[in-house]
Amino acid sequence: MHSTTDFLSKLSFIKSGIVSNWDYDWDYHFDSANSLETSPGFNLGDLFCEVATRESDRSAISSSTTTWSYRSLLVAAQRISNQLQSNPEYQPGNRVILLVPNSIEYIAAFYGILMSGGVVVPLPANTESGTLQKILKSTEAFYIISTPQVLSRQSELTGIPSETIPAEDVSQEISETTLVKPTARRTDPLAAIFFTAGSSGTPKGVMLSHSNLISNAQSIQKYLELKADERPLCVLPFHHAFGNSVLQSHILLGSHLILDANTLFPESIVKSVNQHRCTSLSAVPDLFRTLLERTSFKKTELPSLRYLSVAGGALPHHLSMEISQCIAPARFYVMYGQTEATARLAYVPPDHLPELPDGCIGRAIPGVTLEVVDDKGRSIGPGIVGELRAKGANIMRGYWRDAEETRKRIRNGWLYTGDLATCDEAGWITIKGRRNALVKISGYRVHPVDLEEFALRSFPISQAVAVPFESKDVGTRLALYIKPAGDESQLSVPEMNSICRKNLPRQMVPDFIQIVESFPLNHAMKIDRTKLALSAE
Amino acid sequence: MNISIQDRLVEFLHSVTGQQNIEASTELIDSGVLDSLTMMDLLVFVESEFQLRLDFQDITPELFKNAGTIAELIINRLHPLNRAG
Repeated sequence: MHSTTDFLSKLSFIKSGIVSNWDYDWDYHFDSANSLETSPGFNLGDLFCEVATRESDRSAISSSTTTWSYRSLLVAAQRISNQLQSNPEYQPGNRVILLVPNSIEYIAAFYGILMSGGVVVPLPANTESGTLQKILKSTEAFYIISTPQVLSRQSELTGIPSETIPAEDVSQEISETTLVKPTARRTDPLAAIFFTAGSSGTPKGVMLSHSNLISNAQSIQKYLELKADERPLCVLPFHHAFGNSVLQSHILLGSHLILDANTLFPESIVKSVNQHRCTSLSAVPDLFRTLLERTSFKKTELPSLRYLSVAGGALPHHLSMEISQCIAPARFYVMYGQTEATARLAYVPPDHLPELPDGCIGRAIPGVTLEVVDDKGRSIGPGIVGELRAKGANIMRGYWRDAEETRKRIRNGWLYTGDLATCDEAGWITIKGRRNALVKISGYRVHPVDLEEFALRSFPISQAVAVPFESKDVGTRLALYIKPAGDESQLSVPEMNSICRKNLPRQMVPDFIQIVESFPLNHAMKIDRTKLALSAE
Repeated sequence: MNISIQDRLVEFLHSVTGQQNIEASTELIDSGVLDSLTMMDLLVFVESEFQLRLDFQDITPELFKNAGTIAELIINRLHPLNRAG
């Protein structure tokens, strides 16, 4: 049994110095007339403790070098929880930013924060400094948990004193009574806030409650037919909804998570599946394309695999079929969802995949209701395009401190997905497009308008138009068209490109920038975005 | 020949990351310089600029450690018989 002290000493606890003035009740933005039904349910921290205690001798997590038992994981989480609570000003409901890459440390800290009664705010380790400051201010996070390596790249945070967990004899005995501090629990408190990425505009924080996370995890366990002895290869970032759903659905079963994969080197993923006898892999479409085109995936036997799953974007049907045939009798699940629904909303039962059309997302997961409606919220007939809306225990509690945006997305107890869809006579749902201009770039959510606003703020220009286009080598990317202020552009394209690269997350950086004198207009006298997109291809 | 391939790689890395302090020996992986989207950009650049197709055995942490090792890989793939040393 290795020492949790070595591992725990890698974590830095930074106190933000912010004492939150927010009344806990303010966190919920819908009035009681509209409030969604919630089952009181468990607390995710409690559930984790229960599972970890029951499975204490079994393996919980393996990295490339170490394997942790559930007992070790529980001890680590407990000590992180204690560290947070050792500060007398720390209150239940406080937000704690988790700025740690996928790792055993991340998982221990996630549950440690919950066990202390806190709200987890997971963020990518490479979050731009401006965005981090905005989120710190908006959430009034009491603590940031990070590592020295991550902090060395966050210039705003270096130099701020941080705590580490003191070394002490680690007792392997955890008494039941000290497991979880009793907190003032209202029905279904907040468990986490997942922010959408991007330094342009204001990132939106999706508020997820304990019920949200638990209900979605349980529904996923059901339709994927997960067993306790699963060994998922975890490649998705845990700080995103999809990766988080893999984490929750497997930990709550007492499964063995394998964290030995690097998406930079896709062949290593194929090797890891066999080396660790992984039973599953979940990933975004880009990674599956890469596996098919750039690895030995197609010709390598993967006997331990039970299933593969894809979400976070559309994979062309012929590629889904190719993967499905490659791995048979293992199952291939095509899935659909969004962060506002915790993660998952729909899936295609693998047996039906061959007969269903491109863009089909299948049917609702257990416990969720999906409907296609017109703009007045009325149900419409088969084959007619409308907006897809959803109801279920997994629907978010709202956007953090943004009642207005919340009201746009959650109306009369339904989450409006923003996706256009049709439903056929058999009840299969097919996505037809987006209501707004949201684009998925390599699995990341991007609003072209955020790039336009960034350009207007950062360059001496009068107008900016950003459109998605299909780049034949790499899929969907953004093109940016600029109209300079004044007669000549004061910045060259390479200069603008450099500024974008330095300040934006990679998925928002335009792959193509062009300076124009004017924009083509369509017959409605609006900027012809389709024409612009075509000229970039 | 070796040096100019390396220079072109370093220049590409400067432009694709916006970081001007990257050198031929700058470690690319653990430092976070290469993320999966930038890696895709790099592969497309290498393949189109040097007219070759990288194999799955070519895309490994050892060969992509820094611009120098990537340049070596390119040289070896362009002229498999002309190995250095």
